[in-house]
Amino acid sequence: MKENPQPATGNRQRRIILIFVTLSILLVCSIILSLSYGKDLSTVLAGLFSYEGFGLVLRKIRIPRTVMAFLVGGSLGVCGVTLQSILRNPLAEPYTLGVSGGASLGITVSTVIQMQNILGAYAYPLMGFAGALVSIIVVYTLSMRRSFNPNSMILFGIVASLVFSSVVFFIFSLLDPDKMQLTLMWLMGDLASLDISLIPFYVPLLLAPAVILFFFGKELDILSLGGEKAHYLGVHPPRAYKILFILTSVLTGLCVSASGIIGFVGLIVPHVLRNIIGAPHTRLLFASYLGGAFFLIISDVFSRYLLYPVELPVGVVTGIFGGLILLFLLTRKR
Amino acid sequence: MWMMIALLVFFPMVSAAYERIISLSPQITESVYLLNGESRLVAISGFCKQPAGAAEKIRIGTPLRPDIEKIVSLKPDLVLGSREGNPPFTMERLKNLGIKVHYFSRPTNFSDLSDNFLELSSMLDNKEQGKRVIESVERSLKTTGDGISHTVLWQVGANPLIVASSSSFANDIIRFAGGVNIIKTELPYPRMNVEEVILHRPKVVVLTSMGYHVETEKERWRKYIKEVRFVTLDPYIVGSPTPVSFLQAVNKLRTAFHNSTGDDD
Amino acid sequence: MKKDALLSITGVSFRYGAQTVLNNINLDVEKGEVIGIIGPNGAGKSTLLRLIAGYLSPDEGSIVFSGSPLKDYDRRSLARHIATLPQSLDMPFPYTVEEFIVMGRYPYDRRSFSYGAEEKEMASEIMKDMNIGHLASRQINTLSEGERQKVYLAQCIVQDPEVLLLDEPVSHLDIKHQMRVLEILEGLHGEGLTILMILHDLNLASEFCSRMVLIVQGSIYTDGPPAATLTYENIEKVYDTVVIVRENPLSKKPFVIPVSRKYLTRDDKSQ
Repeated sequence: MKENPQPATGNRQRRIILIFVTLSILLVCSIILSLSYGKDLSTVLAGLFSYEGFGLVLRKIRIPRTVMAFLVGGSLGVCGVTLQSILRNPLAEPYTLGVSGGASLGITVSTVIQMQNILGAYAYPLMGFAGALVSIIVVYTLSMRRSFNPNSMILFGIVASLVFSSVVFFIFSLLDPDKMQLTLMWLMGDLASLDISLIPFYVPLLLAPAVILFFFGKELDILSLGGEKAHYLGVHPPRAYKILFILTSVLTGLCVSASGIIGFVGLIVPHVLRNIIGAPHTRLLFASYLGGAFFLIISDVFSRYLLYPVELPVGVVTGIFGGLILLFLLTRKR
Repeated sequence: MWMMIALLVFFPMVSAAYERIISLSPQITESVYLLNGESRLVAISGFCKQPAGAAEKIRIGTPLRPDIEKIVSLKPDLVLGSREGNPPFTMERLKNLGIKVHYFSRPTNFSDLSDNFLELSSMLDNKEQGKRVIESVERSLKTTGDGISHTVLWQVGANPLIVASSSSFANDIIRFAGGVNIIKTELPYPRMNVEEVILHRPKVVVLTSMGYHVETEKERWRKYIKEVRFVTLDPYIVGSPTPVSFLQAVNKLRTAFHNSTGDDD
Repeated sequence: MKKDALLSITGVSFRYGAQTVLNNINLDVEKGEVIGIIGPNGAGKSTLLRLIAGYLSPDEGSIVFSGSPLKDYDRRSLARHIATLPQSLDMPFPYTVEEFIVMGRYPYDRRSFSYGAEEKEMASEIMKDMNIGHLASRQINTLSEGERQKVYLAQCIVQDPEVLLLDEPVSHLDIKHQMRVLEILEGLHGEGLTILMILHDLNLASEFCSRMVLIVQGSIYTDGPPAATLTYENIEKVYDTVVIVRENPLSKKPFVIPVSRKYLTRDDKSQ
């Protein structure tokens, strides 16, 4: 009878710790890069202690932007992991269950009825989230009848997204081309748009669901075995799916309301990290938060400085990066 | 006898004026009124009540959705539109139905704008009025520089920040006003990094109040540049104004350059 | 209904839409029995297993486990008593064997984030006993069918159940692995485990089960020791196939030989 080889397990533990350390270092580097790009050390240091000049830029532009990139990137990473587990598909991503369509509709309606005249800078975030909520309620109500069966949820999510998108295009066809242009650009992702006064609200709102999701690591492992086997191991799939659906949809809706639709983060980061640190979900959730934050911060730096002073929509940058990485991974396996 | 034939041949060319004109865009309508050609206007688009007297005109839909059936039923001899304001296929559709359509090309500067205006004046058989308007505007536009560099940011959109750069048509308004655009890129309407704007500390920010909330933007810019002044303009200025509204915009800018207080409104 | 039976199924019926899948099933299972559930395809065997496991609820009748109705147990506590292995387990993610097996301790380990050292130790022990310790760090989707089935079984065993329910545990394995897995089950039975398994191989069922329940079209056709259940009359009636039943020289249990039609005389063929 062969012994269970201990050294291999010990090695793997060390390797995993190493990866987490690397991720953290990368994340810190990206934050520093985002805050100090293009400026020399003395400017940055002076800026930390003053409210003028670069200090103003730092406090009002770079820090808020980096904070949002961190929170949104991490949230999308964690949502991606959760959805990939529920749907038992390593290529699922946070928008699969229809949130983006609803949010787009909310924002388009906001532009049409000139909500910004009433709500000012709060128009987009509030209306975007309202739209996302509508989509969540629709998919929830439909899914309830099917005990939140994941395959049904995907279908309902796709249908909801299609319907909402159609309405959005319908409205677009009536709008001035300029208004349409602006709405479209925002929907491509923008980490600078959120009014700074809203950030203190978004920080706990974005952190809370993510933290709760961290606690579901073991359940996600078991759910990935399928509803029946999960049942036999002591998990109640319909209830679990329901809670996870609400948590991820609300979190994704909050992200879209804050910064538009930023794709690929929720798909690529969990996918890549799973191949590096393995499938168990608890550590995958933590790693995906760090990885997602890093990926989005770096993408944001690119979007700001690749064609400086012209800025690219960050969703375009994540799309290109993510697409290339995915292409590389898929062609490599063959 | 020969005179008769000559007249028959030359008459259409001489009398190139149109009697039943439909305008597909409010700016063209405005220009027609400036040229005293409103009696030739059979129908117009949009739902504005300006200029005075326009309220009575028949409407044929909006600039983006002209009512083709109605247009045809009115039997116009000329339909006027523009490439940036009206859908291209409308022109094709009407042409296929045998109706004469003329789309003005997009002006890239004031000179193009004048050319379009003069072209219109010829169609309305009122070249003199056209020349008069243009000359009057050109006179007012002329100015001696005061040697001061008036830096301007022309904001077209917020969230994300989109501006009209030195390559845009709007830049001509800045130029004539004696200002300089802080954004110099090849793209006419680039999406901008806010930091770049703050770096240049523009004196005046032009807000074209479309799709975003003017007050919020004013607050935002005041946060970064305390002494900044604002000019609010109709969004259609960015596309293709009439020569008169072009001049009005230039004047607003000039006032802002020399005012010591914040806004024009 | 026997009062001291571990599992009592009384008058159970189950319908799927308009179709009656199971009709008036009555079955008592004593502690320590190894029961083979056999029958033609579509007879309702898997449905019965799912009802016993608590995944489905009967439309009529009751199921009582250890003196309490099945529906009174919450999922987690039921999982501490009954471990179920469905027919197929789809694994979309690259878990290693040890990561996978320790999941079987979920019903016991209430801590967040990870499994305790004791749980991992138990998984390790089970792997050793089943001779798959060397596979601990391997990814499940790189294993052979036989190895994988052992891993799935190990996950069930680490649940420390009293009852093991298995749906076709060896159907797609080669002879070697079929025997290995069934021998493991035999060993577990020796330690007191009650086992109900659906098998489509009649002879394997005969060898390893002390009792066989033959289900046909939603009802129990016969229920008893292999010698009584596996008669040529029963088999031919239920499976509509001519068979010869002989006695296994080593175990003395019946084994079934299917007879190809080409060996039949004209009289037999007219059946």
